[in-house]
Amino acid sequence: MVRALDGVNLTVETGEFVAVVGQSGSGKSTLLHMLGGLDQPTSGYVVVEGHELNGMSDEQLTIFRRRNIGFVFQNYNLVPILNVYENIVLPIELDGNTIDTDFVSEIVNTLGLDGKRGNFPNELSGGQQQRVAIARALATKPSILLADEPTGNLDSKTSQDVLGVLKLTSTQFHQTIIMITHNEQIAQLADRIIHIEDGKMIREGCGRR
Amino acid sequence: MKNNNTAVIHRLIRRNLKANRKRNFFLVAAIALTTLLLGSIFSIGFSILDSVKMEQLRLSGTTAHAAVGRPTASQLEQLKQLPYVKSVGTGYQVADIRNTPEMGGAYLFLHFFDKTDWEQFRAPANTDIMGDYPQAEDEIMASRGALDLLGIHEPVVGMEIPLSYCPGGEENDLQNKTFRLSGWFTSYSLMTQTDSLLVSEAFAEKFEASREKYLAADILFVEEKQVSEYFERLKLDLDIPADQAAAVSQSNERGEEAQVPMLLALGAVAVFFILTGYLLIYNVLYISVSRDVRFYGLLKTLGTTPKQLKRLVVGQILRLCMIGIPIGASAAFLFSVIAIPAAIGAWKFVSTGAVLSFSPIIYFGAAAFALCTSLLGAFLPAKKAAEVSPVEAQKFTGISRPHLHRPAHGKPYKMALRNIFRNRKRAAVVLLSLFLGITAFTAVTTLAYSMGVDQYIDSLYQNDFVLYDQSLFSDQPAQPFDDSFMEQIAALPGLESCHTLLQEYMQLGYSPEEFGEYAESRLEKLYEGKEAFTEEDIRKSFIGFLVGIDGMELTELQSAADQKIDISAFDRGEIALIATDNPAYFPRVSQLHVTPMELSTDGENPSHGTEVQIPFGGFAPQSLESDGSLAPTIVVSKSFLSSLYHSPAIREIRIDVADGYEKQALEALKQISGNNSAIRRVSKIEAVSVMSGARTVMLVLGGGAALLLAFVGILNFINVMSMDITVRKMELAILESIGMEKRKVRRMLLFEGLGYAVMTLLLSATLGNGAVYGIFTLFKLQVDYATFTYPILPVGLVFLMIFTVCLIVPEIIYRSIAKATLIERLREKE
Repeated sequence: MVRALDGVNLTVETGEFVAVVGQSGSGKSTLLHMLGGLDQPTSGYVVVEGHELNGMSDEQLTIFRRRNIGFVFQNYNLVPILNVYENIVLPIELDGNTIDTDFVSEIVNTLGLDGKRGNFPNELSGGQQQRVAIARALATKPSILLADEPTGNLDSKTSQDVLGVLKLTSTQFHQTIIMITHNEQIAQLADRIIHIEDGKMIREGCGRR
Repeated sequence: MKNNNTAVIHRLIRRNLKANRKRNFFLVAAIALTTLLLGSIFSIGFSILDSVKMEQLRLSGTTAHAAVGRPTASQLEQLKQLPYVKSVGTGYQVADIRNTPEMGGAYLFLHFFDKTDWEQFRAPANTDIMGDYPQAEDEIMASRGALDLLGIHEPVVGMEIPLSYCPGGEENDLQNKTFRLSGWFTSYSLMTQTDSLLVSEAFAEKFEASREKYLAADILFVEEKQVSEYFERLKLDLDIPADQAAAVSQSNERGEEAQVPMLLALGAVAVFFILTGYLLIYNVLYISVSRDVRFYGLLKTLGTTPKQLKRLVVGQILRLCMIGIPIGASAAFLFSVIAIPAAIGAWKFVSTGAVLSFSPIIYFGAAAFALCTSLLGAFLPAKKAAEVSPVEAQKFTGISRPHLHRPAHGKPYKMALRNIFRNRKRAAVVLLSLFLGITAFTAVTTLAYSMGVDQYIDSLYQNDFVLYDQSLFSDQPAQPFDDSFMEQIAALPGLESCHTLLQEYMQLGYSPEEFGEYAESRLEKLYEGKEAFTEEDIRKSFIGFLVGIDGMELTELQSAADQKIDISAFDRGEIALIATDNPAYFPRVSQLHVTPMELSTDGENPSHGTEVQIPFGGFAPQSLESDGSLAPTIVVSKSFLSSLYHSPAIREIRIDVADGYEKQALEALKQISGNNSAIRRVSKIEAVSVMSGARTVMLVLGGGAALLLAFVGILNFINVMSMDITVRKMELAILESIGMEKRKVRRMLLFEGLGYAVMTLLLSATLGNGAVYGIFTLFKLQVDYATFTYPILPVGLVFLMIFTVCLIVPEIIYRSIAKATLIERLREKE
């Protein structure tokens, strides 16, 4: 059996922007999946805002995710059959809640997507798609925003742009963010940097605030 | 946790449907096909049941549930008050119409029905009613059959019909009157050799004696299903004595049990259709969900619960059902209107015309079953969508790894084989549905081919033509086969042989030891044991028929299994035989005492000849038996019979003509017999044309259904192939980029298609043909004249079709994806 994560002990405070850095195969994605309730640890526990994730059923985990976690993926993962606005409000609608239109509009404006509400994902550039993904992640006012290599598919200029948006989110919406990256430079943007190797946390430091 | 998230799920369903038009087409086609096949099967079943029910009504001539003979005035009054009696009609036989030779063995009566009886009970059991029920005293209404017997083939309202009749059946009171025809209809009761001409109340009133003798009350109960219980109550309530006739109508005595095997067979076919429909729907949806694993995984990551994902898949199939089911149901309706009457007619399920059932149950049932099939087909794919793991979905490429481990060395056919079995389940479903379709088709065509018309006809008819004297059993035999008639037969074109069968009345010597058991069984059959007979009564009434036949012909009629009979002794008139299929009745017979009887011209006072004694020599086939007498039919040689009677009557003439002369001989026979209704003709050549029609219908309907099944298999193949190649677009581009020529890629895909076709062929040739032979063996138990005939041509054509489709489809799909340049395809994502 491979131990993807071993003896990781991590606490993240509300409003913190944490970067997890490591080479590919170091276990950083597994950490993110566990934090987001996509995967369960074989031993140990994950607690988010007082909810212990261990032992939740598939259904309970799913509902937990849509209420507490916002995801941003390397490959954007927008629903191709829904337009920008529909993609953003999808998690809210899945929960059967009424949409806080003022808040969503604020996000859309902040992320510069105002003119693209009716467009479909395949009509957008990579950077625009990633902004939509971030907007979608923020729309439910999640406890944690998990970003898995958010700039992995983007050129350096667009990457800077997207990272700026993330940073803005962190300050403007006081959003807890955990970002995974293999790029030290990108990690420097975070409040706190955690280095991970072979499934173990080896170092912790501060970013350039 | 109850959430109001219907709107977003519906939006996802709508958008997902829009994004998968090709898949939708397959699903709608599958749903529509399933509905069509089920609807057609249900429609056939219901129509046969309705047709059989209608046939029973038409043959019994009334829709009434029961009848009471000679009801008293108080009984009639009481009947109308009973809560479980819906309506009561009355009628009576007014007079017998004098039998003429032209009428053959049929009997005609003048009959009166009151308004209720005619309108509610009699009219619905007849068809093509023209004109009105007689009102005026001289008006008369008749069935077409009765009119034909009277020599009227083109009736006109108001035409005059002179009739001789005996009121109340009193033969010495013969009356004549000219009636005017007020209407006519097609009746089916002539099949039982009796028919009535209907007269008005004004006419019937004048025959009080007939009314007293024959009045009957026809009764319709409130509930059809409880006829026998109501009838028992009725007998108690009316206090019907044992000697008063009361009976339940024939059509209510026979249940629908006779149709059970046929309905079971149809049920099995329906299950088969459901299975194929299920396979197709399941396969299309499963492939679609597999391809969209990333999509479902993403939705799950974003918080779509497993339940919501199931709703997403099931919701799509439900919407497609809303399109597919109405299409299939309409097609089934059209099919019913066009094909079913022909099928029921040609298969001879009923003799009185097919009734097309439009029961809403057919279409609701088909729709409900098709819906269930669709939901069942969607169940596993929906489960798969719900169980998608978000983490794995992210890594999903839609391409499964091959299971084979031997190197392919870039050989297209090896790579093709590997590709086919990349997803074993999918390959199995495609092969199974192709295999089922082909096997069903082969089975149906094999049965139709094996049921060769010639074999069937040969098994039924020993001779090209047989003419029967129908009047032989009436009081006044017409003796249509006289010398001049026989001379004309001898001059028939191409005549090879002509044998006659003689038949006359005789009295048989009775002893309880020899014939007691047989006589008892006959009395039971003829009188239902209602009348008591003393031994002396039986001795006096032990009358039957003496049949004369040539020894050589007798040998032909006997099957090899029959006991050996000394034919030369038979021809010399030294032995006589008993015609029966139940020799157990006659264990102690040794000598037969036969007294010839000849009827006088008026049918009364038969004269008895001298008794002869002849040794009993064994049993003759039942086909020589003449039914309806108390004594068994005795078979002797023709010369022996001729020595006993002055001019023995000819019962039937068996004629064989040389090959190729059948049509000419038929025409000649039609001319010779003319319109003489005493002569009944049975001919091979006419039977062949009727049977060919039935076989064609079986081929068209059965073969059509089986072709549809094969079509389902092909749809499945096309679906799998197109999804597979589309998913592997990138992989194919990569193969090209590393140096596999387009030609080779295409050849590899061609081999994949070929692989499916060859494997289907192998499966059908081995397992499939084994199953077909098994089915044939079962079939032969029912239809013993069938000889196994493999339908090489149709099966070959279907295989040609499957090979063509399997070879062409991959090429067409590849062309559609290869339009883009290699660079574009390599860069393309998803």
